[in-house]
Amino acid sequence: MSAVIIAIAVAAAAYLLAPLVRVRQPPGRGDP
Amino acid sequence: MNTAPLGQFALLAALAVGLYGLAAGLVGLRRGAGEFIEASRRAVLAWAALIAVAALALEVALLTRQFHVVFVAQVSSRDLPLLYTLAAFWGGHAGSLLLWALILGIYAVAAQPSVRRLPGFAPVVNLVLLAVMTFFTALLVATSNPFTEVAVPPPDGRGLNPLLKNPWMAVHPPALYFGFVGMTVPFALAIAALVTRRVDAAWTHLARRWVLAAWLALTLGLLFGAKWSYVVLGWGGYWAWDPVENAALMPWLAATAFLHSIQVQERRGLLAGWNLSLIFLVFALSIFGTFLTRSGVVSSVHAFASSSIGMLFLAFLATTLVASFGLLLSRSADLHASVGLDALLSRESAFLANNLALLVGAAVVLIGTVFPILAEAATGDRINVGPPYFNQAMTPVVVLLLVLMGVGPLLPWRSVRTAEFGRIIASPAALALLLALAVAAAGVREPGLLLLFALCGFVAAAVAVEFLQGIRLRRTRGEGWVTALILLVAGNRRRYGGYIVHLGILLILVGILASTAFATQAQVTLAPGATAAIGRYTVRFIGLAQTQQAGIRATTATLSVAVSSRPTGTIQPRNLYHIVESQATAAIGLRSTWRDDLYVVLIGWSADRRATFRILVNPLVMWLWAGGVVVVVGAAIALTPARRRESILSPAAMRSEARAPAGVSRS
Repeated sequence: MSAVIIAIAVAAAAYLLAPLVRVRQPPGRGDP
Repeated sequence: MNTAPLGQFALLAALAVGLYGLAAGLVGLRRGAGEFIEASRRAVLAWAALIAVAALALEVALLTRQFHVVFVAQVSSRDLPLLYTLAAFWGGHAGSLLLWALILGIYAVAAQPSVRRLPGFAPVVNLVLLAVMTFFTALLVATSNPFTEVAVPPPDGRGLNPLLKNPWMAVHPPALYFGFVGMTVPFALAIAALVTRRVDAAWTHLARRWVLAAWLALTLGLLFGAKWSYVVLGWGGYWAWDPVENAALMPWLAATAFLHSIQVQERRGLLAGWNLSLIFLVFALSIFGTFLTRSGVVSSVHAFASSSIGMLFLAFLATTLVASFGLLLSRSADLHASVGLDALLSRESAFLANNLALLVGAAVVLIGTVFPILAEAATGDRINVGPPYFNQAMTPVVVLLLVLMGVGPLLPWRSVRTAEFGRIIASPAALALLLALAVAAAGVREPGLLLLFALCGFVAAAVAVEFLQGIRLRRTRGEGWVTALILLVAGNRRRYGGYIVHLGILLILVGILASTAFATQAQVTLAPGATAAIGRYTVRFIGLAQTQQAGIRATTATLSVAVSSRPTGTIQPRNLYHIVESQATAAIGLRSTWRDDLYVVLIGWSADRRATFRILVNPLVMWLWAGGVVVVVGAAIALTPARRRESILSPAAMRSEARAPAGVSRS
């Protein structure tokens, strides 16, 4: 059960923080 | 397997995600920062997913009998059948709140595509959704956690409350909650309309669909609850003006008002502020309804005082009301209509009167529901406000609503000359008079009842007139009757779906009127072989039998039934003793026809095999349930999106169309 919890926690954090992290990437290396 | 830690984690994570989304959304709106707004949108979706995980964890805990989870031990037992094990999810307080959250998640996800169609709305809508989400997750985590565990699990659970072991009770709470929770989306849309200063009819157009869907669910919830009360509680009725029933009726009435008044805004540009207020009221009443059913305040104010959940609900309710109406006041300059009502005799006046009647109805129910609670809080004594108060106060409201249901659809927009109005209502009025005479000839003498039946006839005739004129217009193009009817409804689903709902409401009202006014009942003790007569029925008691199965000891009485001395089969009322819960419930014997219900309750029996029964004959109850089906069909038709603009207007619409100046938009 702990593995499931950790997997969910990591996936949720990645999904939620992605929009904020993406814009801080240097130009040309982020999403098109 | 222990799924409680997963559920516990999902709830805590959902709370964190809610707070994160709120913060991101606020920053995003303030700075106009797209990345933060996107983060808050993702928080809505992630919250819904986490709540779904929590719900799944609870359902698995129930199915695998994890009695170390307090909630599971409280609402289920090893011998509980599969259906009721699934339904035990909402068989207790904490699970009900989780169901509330789960449904909110479903609505929030479903609303995303349509909300994006209104520019600027999505960030505000998501912020409001996140606020509601965070509140409910906080309740789940802090006061009503369904995943609380004990170190030493009991060998078996306490079992589901026997009264809840009924298919209608399995579906009643979800339907009701889909109604309550569904009002959150239009509420969020209304707030977004004010924040973005776009209070025109665009938001009502979108909100209407969500309100109608939630209204449909609420209607189903009310009907399922009534059916459950009728077949399980064994008192012969289906509606007792119980606070928990009233809790659902109040938002239903206010939502009904909204569904009518938005037509005035869409058509004439009037009532923008009023419609916003109505949605705020509907949402507040939904929260209040949840508060009434979940805080324990109904059974006693002391139960309410002993837990913090009631105060939290009241604080949330107060915040919601202050914030929404405060925002409305601050935007009052945006809400002035450039036009006013043209005449007292017009469609828009009828809608206004309808709103007034529905809100008075909601106020009557609110006063009758809240007064005993306030009185108990003030004096310590329980005061009962019973059906006589509600019936007397609601009768004038129902009369006014019936008049408007008949007259309203026939009235053109803007204005009509009195002579023209007389011509329009002449044939429905004549039909109503005929029906009143027929009912009088059948032996009914009370003027109030005659009036109510006549009004029902009036509404039915008015709806028929609308349908007939529309069909006749189409038949001039060479369409057959059935084709014309189908194309008429398909061409303007909103309008004709609405009329079908009116017919359903009418059937429900006739069922309520007849079964309230003309029910007969008797209590008899019979030895085997003895008979009793009630109304057109004669019942003969054949005998008792006892069986035991799935934790229930059933005592079944068999009676043969004859209608006007002609045998028509048997009826079997039962007494069910639930062994684990040591509680008895009744399973009524019921013979339903379109004319009446024969309703038999086994009250008791003695060693000499004599049995005591309560026997009721309730006229036209089946009309009530049939009316419910018609309402569902009508609302479903009104909900389906039209593929193209209506090709043919209804006669009343054409009358008003001919009078409307250029530039007045068609609905």
